[in-house]
Amino acid sequence: MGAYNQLIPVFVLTGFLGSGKTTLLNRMLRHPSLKDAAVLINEFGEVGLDHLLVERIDDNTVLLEGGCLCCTIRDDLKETILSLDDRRSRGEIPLYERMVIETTGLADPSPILFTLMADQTLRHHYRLATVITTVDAVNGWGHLDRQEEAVKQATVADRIVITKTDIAAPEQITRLRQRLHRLNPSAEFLTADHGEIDIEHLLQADLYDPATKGKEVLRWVEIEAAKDATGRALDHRHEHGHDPNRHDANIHSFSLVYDEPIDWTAFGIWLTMLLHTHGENVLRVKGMLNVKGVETPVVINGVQHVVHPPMHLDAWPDADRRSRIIFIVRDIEKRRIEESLETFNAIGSGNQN
Amino acid sequence: MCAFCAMLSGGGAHWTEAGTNAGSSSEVESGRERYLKRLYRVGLMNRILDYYGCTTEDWANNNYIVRSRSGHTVIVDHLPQVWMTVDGLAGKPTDPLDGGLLAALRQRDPAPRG
Repeated sequence: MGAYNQLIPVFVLTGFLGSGKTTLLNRMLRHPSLKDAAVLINEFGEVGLDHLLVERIDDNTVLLEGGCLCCTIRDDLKETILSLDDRRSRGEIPLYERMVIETTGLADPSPILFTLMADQTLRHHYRLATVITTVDAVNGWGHLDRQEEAVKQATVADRIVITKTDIAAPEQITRLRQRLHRLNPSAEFLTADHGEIDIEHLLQADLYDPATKGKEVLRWVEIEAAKDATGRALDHRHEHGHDPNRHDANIHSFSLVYDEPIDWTAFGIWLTMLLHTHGENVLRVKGMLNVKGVETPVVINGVQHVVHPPMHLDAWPDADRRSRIIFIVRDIEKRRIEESLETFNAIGSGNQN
Repeated sequence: MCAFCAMLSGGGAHWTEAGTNAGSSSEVESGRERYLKRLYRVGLMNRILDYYGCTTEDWANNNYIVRSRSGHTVIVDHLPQVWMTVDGLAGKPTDPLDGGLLAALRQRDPAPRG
């Protein structure tokens, strides 16, 4: 595999039905950086609508057959991408340098992310760049209440675009944003007004883009800095009194902070073991580690069972040299993860030298 | 993790084996460096696998051999496959949140608790 940042970046655009994915996709595809992008859209439910509304459908656009992209045909996604790759290398289609996948609104996008990150063939040519999730300012709250898929779409996002803000009350938008932030504090929020959004910004700050990766990680770190009045690190739980049957009621996020450098080997053993057993409930793990023997911060980024290749930042973003890890989990107490990681790190420390 | 996921997660360099700056062309380690890292990893893993009645060792600087006390031996590629294999050999899931495992690890090597 070549340098990770030289692989073709894949943007995944997800969001619940009617949340404005296609409108956003149309905007995105007008951006110069996506001029030659390959676009994969899904054929499910709004088939014709999606197809007709995507203006830039050309030879690079592939309608995936078989219905729901996310849960039925992971292999089909792989084969579709490899077919495009083959045609690209034979000169039958333009040499696209980016790819956009628009998922169906009715499904959990995790299998798509999994396929991109874990498939041995794909990961030699492509890398998951940014997951963009659209959430409708008017109906998004209800979707989060009733649809588990909508919750998953929000938790795996790197960017959350709140759409239809022009027809929602300001307090409605604020409340939705707060709820989404509790669900996924590491996501960056953008708003779309009549479909207008800063596409340049949306597509920039990809974690593996050498020019912007520092900014992206710094954003995570700033989230960690949002401590409560008692100085405790971030621990976002939902307030009491909410309906426990809501699909996001049992999901919460928290951060762990370590003063001492982390033993990388022990950490790898711990995280693979955690994700092996609890991957379905560890929705995201993101962090910046101070690793023993490494001078610059090591960035980790995982989605359920899979972890992006770790990456160095060129320098620490500020004077703080502590390791900071953000977790988004379902039904796992912070205390248990904290105790476990500390114990594993200690056996690494004990074995050193 | 299902067997299919574990299989897919492997092949090539698993992230735990690819160094802390995976994919960077500047981070190329020698066979000896890789061996020493794997030796260290195997040492830590054996501390954990002891709780499950299993052991592991490096095989050809590329795979792991997992053994149960009853003599079953399985060769695997990477850590997720180790956990999956030990699940089967031990008859219970490997779980880093298991209080019994953590107590056993602390007993052998009391952690500096803050």
